[in-house]
Amino acid sequence: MSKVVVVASGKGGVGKTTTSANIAAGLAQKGHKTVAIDFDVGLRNLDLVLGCERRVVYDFVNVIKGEAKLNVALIRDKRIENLYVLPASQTRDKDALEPEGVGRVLEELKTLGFEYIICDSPAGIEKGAQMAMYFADEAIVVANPEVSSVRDADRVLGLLSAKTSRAELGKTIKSHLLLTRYSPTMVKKGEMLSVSDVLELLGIPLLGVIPESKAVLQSSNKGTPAIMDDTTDVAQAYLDVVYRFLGEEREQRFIDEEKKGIFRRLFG
Amino acid sequence: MEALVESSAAVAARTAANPVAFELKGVMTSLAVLRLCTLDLSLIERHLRIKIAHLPQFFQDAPVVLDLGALALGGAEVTFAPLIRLLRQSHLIPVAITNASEAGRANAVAEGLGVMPYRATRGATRAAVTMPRESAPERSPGEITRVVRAPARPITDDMPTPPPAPVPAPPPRAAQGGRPAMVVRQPVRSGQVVYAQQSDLVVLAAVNPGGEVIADGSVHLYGTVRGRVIAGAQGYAEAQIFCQRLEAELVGVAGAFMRAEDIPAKRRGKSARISSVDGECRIEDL
Repeated sequence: MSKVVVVASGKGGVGKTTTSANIAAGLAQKGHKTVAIDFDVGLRNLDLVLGCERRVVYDFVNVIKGEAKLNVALIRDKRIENLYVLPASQTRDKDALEPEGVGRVLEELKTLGFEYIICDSPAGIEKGAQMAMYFADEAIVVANPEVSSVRDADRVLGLLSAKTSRAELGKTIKSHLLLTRYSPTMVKKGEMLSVSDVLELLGIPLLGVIPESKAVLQSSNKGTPAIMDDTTDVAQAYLDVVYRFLGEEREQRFIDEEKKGIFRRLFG
Repeated sequence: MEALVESSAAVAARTAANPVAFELKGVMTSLAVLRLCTLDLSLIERHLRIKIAHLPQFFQDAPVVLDLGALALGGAEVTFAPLIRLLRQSHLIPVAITNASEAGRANAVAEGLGVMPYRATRGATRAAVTMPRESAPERSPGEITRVVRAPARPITDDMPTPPPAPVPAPPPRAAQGGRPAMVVRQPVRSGQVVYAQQSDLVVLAAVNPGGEVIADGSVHLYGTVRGRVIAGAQGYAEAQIFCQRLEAELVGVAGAFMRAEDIPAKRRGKSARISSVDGECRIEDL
């Protein structure tokens, strides 16, 4: 049974691609055959974050147009078994994404036995984003704890409930909230929205909180998803997210400020 | 109108004999009336833009009647072509004039506008007008450039037997005419618009920032409202907004509006009842 999952946010720069890469890597690590598709035609990024940019020959648009076979265009990750990437085209424009073609490719991925198909949505609410969400069974809505990001996430949730194949059939899309770049210290100072503020407004279940961390930037630059180095808090947070996504109970972490003992308060 | 009414049996019999080209029906409908207080097109445009920004989907392609009664010489000096162009650009469709002098009427007809008999009393006009606050010239002298108050003439007198006039109808008695209230259970999210036409609207969940809920009748909100709320969208003055927790961006009742900035701080975050009194929004305890 395959599941199509869209990672969306509306706003740019909140961590969609990072989240897509880490969740796809995490699911694959847990033994599920997973593919991450980059829907950001013209602004190809996911391959960089997953460190396979030097192996891209064909892309998603080539497959849609019938210019390449799907199994040729798919890039298999060398480090994680079960993880595949279907990169975006850097040279085409978003009009190349048409519903019949996208639907056909997704169906073909299902027949190839992919359990999870992670659709990394571009920012905005235009065609690319609409195509990324159209065939989704579930959605992971990524937001930062600040008002404009939350409003954009709200807009995306509205579109998910209206402009998707499931919505057209009168079904709902299970939507999860992932709050990224969270800083409990800033929340305490009142400089950032708190988890409860965001949850109250969006009204969807919380999949997890990813703390603000340099590890994200470093891992993106290295092309190694943060989740692969499980010593960092980001990796721990994404691992929790993957477990919760797979239906396991995990207590929420990284919401409150770290309690510092007397020594750490004194020395650092 | 009676002459036009036929029994359905007669219609059926006639239809069998010859095909019917059309049926002529007198329909009572309410129309927005734009009571012009100035001929300054840039001023009109600016004010239109503000009005339309409040309720864009309501004004989209809406037919409007131009009331020339407040203009000098009953609109004899109006050059209609640029005015029509301006309204069209704002997605309004001017269909007719009313309350015009003979000269004004001739000009309007030459530009393809119809003529409506002026019959409504001031109260009835107000009811049909969706922008009542600006409609009375004496209240907004700043907008008037040249006003010689011509007496309102009943032009019905010198008209060749007019068809039954779609006189501005009394506003829809929402929720009393039988149409049940529309009930929304899902949150109204940013970018979503819910419009309960000719009825009340009940929203059980939140209205988020950037969301809009509109009803021709009253609006009842059981979740926190952070978006925009419009009751009495067609001018029904008895409409009200009832809400459990008021944090709206904008509230409007029967053409009177209040922005977030205008809502007193002590009313924010609390339950409230909002009505229109003398063309102004009034917020009271629920």
